[in-house]
Amino acid sequence: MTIDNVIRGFTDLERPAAFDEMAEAVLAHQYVHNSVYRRYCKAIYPQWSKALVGADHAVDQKSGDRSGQMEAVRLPSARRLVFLPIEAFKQVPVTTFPPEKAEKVFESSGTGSGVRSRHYVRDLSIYERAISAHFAGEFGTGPFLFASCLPGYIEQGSASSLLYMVDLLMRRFGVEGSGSVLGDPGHLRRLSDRSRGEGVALMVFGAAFGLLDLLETTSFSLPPDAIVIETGGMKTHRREITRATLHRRLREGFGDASVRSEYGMCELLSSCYSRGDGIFHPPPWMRFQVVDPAYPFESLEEGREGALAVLDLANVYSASAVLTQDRAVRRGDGFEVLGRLEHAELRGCNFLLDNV
Amino acid sequence: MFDKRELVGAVAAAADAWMHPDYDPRQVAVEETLEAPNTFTEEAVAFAVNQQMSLLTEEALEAWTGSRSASSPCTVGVLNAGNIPLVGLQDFLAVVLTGHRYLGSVSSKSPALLPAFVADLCRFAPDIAANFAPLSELLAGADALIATGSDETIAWLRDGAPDPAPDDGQGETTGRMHDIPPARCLFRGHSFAVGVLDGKERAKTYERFAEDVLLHEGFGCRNVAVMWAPRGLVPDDLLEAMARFRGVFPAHRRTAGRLAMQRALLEAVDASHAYGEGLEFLVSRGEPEIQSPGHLRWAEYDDTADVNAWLDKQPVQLVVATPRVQKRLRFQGLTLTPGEAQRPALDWRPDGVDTLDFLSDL
Repeated sequence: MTIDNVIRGFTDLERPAAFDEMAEAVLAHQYVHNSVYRRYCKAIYPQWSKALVGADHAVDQKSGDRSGQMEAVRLPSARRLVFLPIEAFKQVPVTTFPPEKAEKVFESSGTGSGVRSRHYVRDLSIYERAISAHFAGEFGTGPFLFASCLPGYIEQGSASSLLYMVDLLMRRFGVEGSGSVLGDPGHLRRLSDRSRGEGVALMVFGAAFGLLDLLETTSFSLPPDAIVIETGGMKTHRREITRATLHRRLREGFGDASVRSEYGMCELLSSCYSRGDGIFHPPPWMRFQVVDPAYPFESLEEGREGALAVLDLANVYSASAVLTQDRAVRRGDGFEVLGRLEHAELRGCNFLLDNV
Repeated sequence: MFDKRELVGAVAAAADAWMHPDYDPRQVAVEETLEAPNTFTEEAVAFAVNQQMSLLTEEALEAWTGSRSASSPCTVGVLNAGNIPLVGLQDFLAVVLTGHRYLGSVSSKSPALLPAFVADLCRFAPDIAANFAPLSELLAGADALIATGSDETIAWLRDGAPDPAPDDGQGETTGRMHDIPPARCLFRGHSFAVGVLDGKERAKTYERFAEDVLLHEGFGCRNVAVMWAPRGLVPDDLLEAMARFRGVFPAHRRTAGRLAMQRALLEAVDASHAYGEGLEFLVSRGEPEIQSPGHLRWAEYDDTADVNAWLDKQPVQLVVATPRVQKRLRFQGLTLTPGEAQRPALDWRPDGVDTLDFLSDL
């Protein structure tokens, strides 16, 4: 399995073994070409470095095509993967290539500490395939009448991966007239009427408080086949609310619309969707584990809270194994996101709901 | 019938008994606490118990509470964090000394110390209205609420604590666990402490700072998480003081493992850092950002105006600095001298809010 094979075929995975083969190739590639990931692996887990001694040899040789050598590298069991803490994206370019060759740099919104993460994207077509294929797998190819409401991301402009994603989906799966309804409730009402009249399903993408702002001015009765997808951002403006409360308000305000969630971030080139039950389902080329945030080498069993760690093959040119700062719990094949694992909150007088 | 003077005497008597490490109720509670899933060490628990009990004299309790009392006594639910030993003692005392009924909930991380002290206090004051209950029972039975938590936890409580179990596919949750009006809730957010140096500190001062940074393994809102220093100051004196502190207060056995990932990340991104032998502490130089517990961030300033501007924007519980440095700071909140951060006074006001005022206004 070569990196080119992975890039060509990751969205067409049909069997688990193929994922394992691709993951092995990608991680070995990243160990060699991504110095941040390699240094992290060496520092965190000497046994891992020992297992990858072949990869080090390949680095020393400075050969042009290393893919053949990488096939000889065997990773430890999937339960012992080394996940790079996502904070690394805030501090240095996390790439397998010279950062100046990036086709695009996505930035986080910086709503937390103010320091933004940067994801240097070598090949936008990989991102576009990952986003499109998973959307089509979850919702079909449409066409849809899209409405977006993403305050707070507009000022980021083209650096926002969320704006890029929604724009891409509109171009790929949207009908003419799809667009932003930010600050214009009347526009959403017109799109809703048009959806009913033309029989084109309405799909509303919105950040949590953008959608709530819309509902503050008026309520809507969206068509019965309309889907509202909230993209998070419960903390962006004003005070925070829980996801359950958000969904209840959205359902009430939008006339019993189907409300889903999207889980994504600039550091990951794949995203996940919930199916109305708060459980996120990753695409076939992404796997996840819930791990102890202090000892992230072992996967926790279903139902136990921990940090969400993901292995995203679409991150082939950056880091695929990433330890997020999201608090999550495994639910069957999916995961539920319970909140954030901020350092400041971990330190503070924070009671856990361990005795509900 | 509530008799405050009698209760004050009972608290002081119980606290006096608890000052002795061999006192049976204390000993049993400490043993149970050290077996719980937390990062408490024997030394840190002893420190916290001794420090807090030493404050509970009759004179101090009277001076703290003054004439404040409940005009309409009610049941006050208190959710205790359990991240450091005996963290909820002040709230308990505030509730019962103002004449309210106390209904507490303890974390599995620290299930024994506070209930054991309260149970022991009942021997001295049998009529005291204090009970512990699981969270759901507490929320159903409380007329007022005191809680500290993350933004998400507080948001959940503000929403009436809807059942946190995954919903039923329609997004419906199974209902709220409380209907306590917002005016009867005292919510405290997450926060941290900050140290500020000017480079003229002596070895003894650094030793006090070491306690402010390292005691309780970096947990607690009074723990110094960011140390501001003038640009170019070498942190060696602080590092040596931290190493000496670890000789007296060894790290919890899990601390090194917890810091291993942090240290590896610093090495991966080539960030300047230092650590103690056996990874008993970790210090890194960089932006003034909070790191995980046990990891101190060393941030540099060119002018104290930079520090003041930063302090204005952060959820800082308190600032620790020498009196000389304090004069140059504009921080409006609690400012302490080195060595005081982990020794909360009886009348300290978390987040600047007086718990006794909240309780007497209910």
